[in-house]
Amino acid sequence: MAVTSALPQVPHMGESIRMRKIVKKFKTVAGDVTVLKGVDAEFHPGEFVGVVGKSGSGKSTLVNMLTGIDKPTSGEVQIGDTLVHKLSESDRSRWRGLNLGIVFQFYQLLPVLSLLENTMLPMDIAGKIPPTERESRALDLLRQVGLEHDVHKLPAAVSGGQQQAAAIARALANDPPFIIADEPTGNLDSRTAESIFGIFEGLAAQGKTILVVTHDPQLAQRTSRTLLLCDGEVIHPAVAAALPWLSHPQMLRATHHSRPIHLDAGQSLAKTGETLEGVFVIVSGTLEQTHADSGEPLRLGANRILGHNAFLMGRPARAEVAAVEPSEVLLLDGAVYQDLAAHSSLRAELAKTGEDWL
Amino acid sequence: MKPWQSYLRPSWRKVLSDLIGNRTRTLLVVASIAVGVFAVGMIAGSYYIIPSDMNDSYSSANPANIQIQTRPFDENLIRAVERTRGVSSADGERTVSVRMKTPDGDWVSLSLIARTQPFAERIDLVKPLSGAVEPGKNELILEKRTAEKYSLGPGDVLELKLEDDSIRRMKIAGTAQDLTSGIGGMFNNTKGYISDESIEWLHEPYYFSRLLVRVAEGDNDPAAIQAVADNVKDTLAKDGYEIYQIQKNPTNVHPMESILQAIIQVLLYLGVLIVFLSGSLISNTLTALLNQHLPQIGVMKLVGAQRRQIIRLYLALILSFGLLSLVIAIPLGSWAAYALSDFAAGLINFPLRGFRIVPQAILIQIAIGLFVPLLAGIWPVVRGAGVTVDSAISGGSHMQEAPAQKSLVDQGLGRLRSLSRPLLISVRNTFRRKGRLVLTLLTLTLGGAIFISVFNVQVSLNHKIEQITKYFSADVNLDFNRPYPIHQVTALVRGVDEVVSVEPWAIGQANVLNEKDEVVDSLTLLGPPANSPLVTPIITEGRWIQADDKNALTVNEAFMRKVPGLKVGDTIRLKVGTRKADWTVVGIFQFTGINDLIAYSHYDHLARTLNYTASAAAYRITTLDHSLEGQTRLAQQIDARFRARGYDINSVEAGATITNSVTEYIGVLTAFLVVMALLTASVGSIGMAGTLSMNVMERTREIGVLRAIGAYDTMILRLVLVEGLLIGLISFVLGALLSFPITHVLADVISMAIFSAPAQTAFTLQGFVIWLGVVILLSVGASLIPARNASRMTIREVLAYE
Repeated sequence: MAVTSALPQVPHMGESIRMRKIVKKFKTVAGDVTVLKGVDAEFHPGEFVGVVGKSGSGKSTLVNMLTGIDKPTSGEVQIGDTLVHKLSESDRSRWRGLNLGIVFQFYQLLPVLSLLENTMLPMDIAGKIPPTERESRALDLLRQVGLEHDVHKLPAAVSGGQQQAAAIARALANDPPFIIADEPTGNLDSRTAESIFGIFEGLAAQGKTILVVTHDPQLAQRTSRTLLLCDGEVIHPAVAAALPWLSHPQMLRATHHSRPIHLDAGQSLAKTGETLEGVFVIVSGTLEQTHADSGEPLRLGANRILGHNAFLMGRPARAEVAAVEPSEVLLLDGAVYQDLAAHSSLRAELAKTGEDWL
Repeated sequence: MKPWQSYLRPSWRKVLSDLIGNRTRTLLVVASIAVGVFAVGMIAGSYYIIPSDMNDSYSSANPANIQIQTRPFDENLIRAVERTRGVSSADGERTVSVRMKTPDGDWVSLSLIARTQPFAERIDLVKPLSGAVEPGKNELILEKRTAEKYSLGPGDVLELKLEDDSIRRMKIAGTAQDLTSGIGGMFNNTKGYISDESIEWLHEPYYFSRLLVRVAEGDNDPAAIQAVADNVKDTLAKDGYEIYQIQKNPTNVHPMESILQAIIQVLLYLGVLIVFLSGSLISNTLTALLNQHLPQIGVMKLVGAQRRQIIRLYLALILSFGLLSLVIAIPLGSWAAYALSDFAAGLINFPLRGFRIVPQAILIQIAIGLFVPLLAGIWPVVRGAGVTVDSAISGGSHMQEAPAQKSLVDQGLGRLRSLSRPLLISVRNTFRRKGRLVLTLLTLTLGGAIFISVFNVQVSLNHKIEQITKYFSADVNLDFNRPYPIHQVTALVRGVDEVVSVEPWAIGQANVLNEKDEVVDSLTLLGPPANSPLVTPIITEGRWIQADDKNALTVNEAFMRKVPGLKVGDTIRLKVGTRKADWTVVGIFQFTGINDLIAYSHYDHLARTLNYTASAAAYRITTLDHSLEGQTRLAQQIDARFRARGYDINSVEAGATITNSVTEYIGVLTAFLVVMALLTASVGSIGMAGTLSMNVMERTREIGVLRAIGAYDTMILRLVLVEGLLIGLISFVLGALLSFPITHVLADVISMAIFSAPAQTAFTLQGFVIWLGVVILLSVGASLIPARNASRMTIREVLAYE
């Protein structure tokens, strides 16, 4: 499937998605199951975010909250100025038709309509695009996703990748500022998945907010950032990035047992000879460590770990650490870190790097 | 799981949960079966109840086996007939014609029937309903219909105007039901019963004109009755009595039975049709159910279930549907059978023996309720149980597949560029499940076709009645008890305003003779003027009478039955008055199909034969106002005018009276058919509701997708409604086309039953328009619940992510 780089877009800037303390409970025979446990997240214009997590982690439920397909038990979902969760089912449908493009894992094209008709359908429903422009716009969108020769075919007559491309064209029909895709490549071969991601990258480059739920870590890496979910909670992105050798529940545990430390430029984090409380993960900014013996400096940026060796060996710090610029650091609880190190390949993996001088 | 469910084996627990788990679907299947079983119960029940109760009531009424019209006679003749060989009992009947004042102050004709036998023993028993059983001297017992029509009852006093215009007041002693006159009584249903002692009090001479005879043995055997009739004829002949008319009826068969049987036969055909239609509905629903259950079947097979075990499980489910429908349909069907019988009993005037269960009807219902669903479901079940585990489990997990290639219909629809996509979805969805659509259309189309046909049949029958009444198209029929000079009567009638024409008619009784000059039958001779505009005959063979005819007859179709092989040009030997002569049959006309012999000659010839000289006893008058009210007004004026001058009037009747009663009768008949048509239509609408529900159920995912891309409630609602409406409209067009042949068949069957002649089919827009309205309402109604359900679905439910 040929995918051209530039999709026709009118920029929609300035609107962000905010999720505050989202809790979602489902009633089951065995009692209430809490699928989302107070999730906070923000997505900004032009961001291409991958929502990642194991099966059952709550990714799709989280996306359902965003799309208004489902309502949170408590908490707020605000997209632009709209509190999505407060709209009625029917109003949410109208709102969605104008503001969101949704792409499903199984394409979900209507089998009785041709690809062209499927693409025109959201325009007919929302009524935003003038009737005279609908067909040419749909043809244009289908051309952009490489389907210009198949526009009059029924979905069953084209491949899965082509159906998904048509589904993307449909999602773009009303030129929405947000595109939300749930496992859009889950049913596609890797080459096709690659080109679908190419389309999303192009859309993000044009200022659209793209959220993609995916299992595939390689594809997740192509996003501008990832939101890692485990057991209904968001794992701190710095924990996930700094300690990739931990399992998701271990990362979540680390997230739970950490606290942020804000440093101003020049502010010291650790001194030589000091006994550490735990291990530091740099969230943002730059820190500089100065070795006690050589006096040599080494700068480290976001997602780097400090104090691993000193803490695990139970010895005092052998370097000075201070912020070069305003920075944020996570302090992981020592006892928990020790336990995590005992039950993972963390120790061996970190031993290979020589960048932690503490 | 409920505690009691744990006692069931898992497989049976599955059957149970399939039954109660999806109540809408269960309701749909059960309703599909129940409606057919109900219709069969209703028809089969009344099929047993009506003839049995009608014949029972007739037999128990001690009906006359032989009825003879002859010249006035007294009790001596009755005694002589009683002594005749083979006769069990005999009685004389006299009808005294008076006019009674109704509670509204109108004067209407009233026939008072007098007999010699005590009421409790008489031939043609009447069933006492209220008040006295027997009328005392100068009292009367009013017949049920008259009492009901004018809200009269025991204790009321009737003001009667006698033939000589004197007034008598007569007390109603009681009411009773005539069990033997049947529907024929409709034509003269204002009647009462008096004791023979009251005849002279009503200023009438004491004599009888109708002889009623019951045979001693073989009262159910036409041959035995004929033999006794021959003996009675001899007795009458010995005393010099001529027979004007003779009727022979066995005791065990109500005279109306053959007509009623024919109508019930039609209902039975419709019942079978309804069962067939409901069978196709069941097949539709079960196919959908099996499709939905494919993943479950796959899982059962995966854990080792064999094909026959799965078949057994689903057949048990189907039987459970059948049993549930029987629980609803048997009581409802029994009740409806009784209601329908009651309706017929009111129409034909016989009492029912009371509500009862008809075991035969229930057995038929049970057989149909269990067998038809099994038959309809066996193919979907066998096919469903035969799928491979792989395709069963993967089935239904994705959006319903559509063919890669567009069908011809879709190709056609694809060219409709002007349709919006939502409308296109409705249109294409309609044609998506073509098998299901065909079955739904079949039921709805047939229901509609029958519905429309019923209206056409009504018009066709009325049309026929109109034709038949063309033999009686005078506005007022003036009949005297003896002939009066034509110029006198004509002058007097013309003196009344609005009269357009007056025709003298010669009317007389004649006997049909065999080669030995013995009387074999009697006939009525009618002699309108040649070329009378008041008779527009339907000639089936030969020609109508002409002015220069001599001893020429145009006879009714009853001759063909009584004289097989009779053809135009043959001669019949008749005795008219005292003259015996051969008459040539010049034509055969189609009449109502009654068995009485009627023949037309022209006035001049017949009057000469009857020895009338420039006189007539019957006059037919026309006016400008042909409405019943206008005719009645004119009749009253003529009546007053002639009575004031001392004319011996037999009756003055408005011409439309008969037409109106017959039209009413046809109206009642068609009401039966409308009930059946509505029943068929209800099968159709249940079918459509089912189809739409199944369509919506199967497309929940698509509805979720539509919601996801912005479709709001009313749009989803509209999608389903348009689909329903489209099915309804297609069925309307097909039904309208199909109604043409069905009208022909139905009208012919009923016309043959009533008139012994095929119908001349006529069509009316009424049925088409009403059905269009009904089908639109049905479509919207049937789509409403599925559409509402569809619009209420949340996307989470339909897309069921996790």
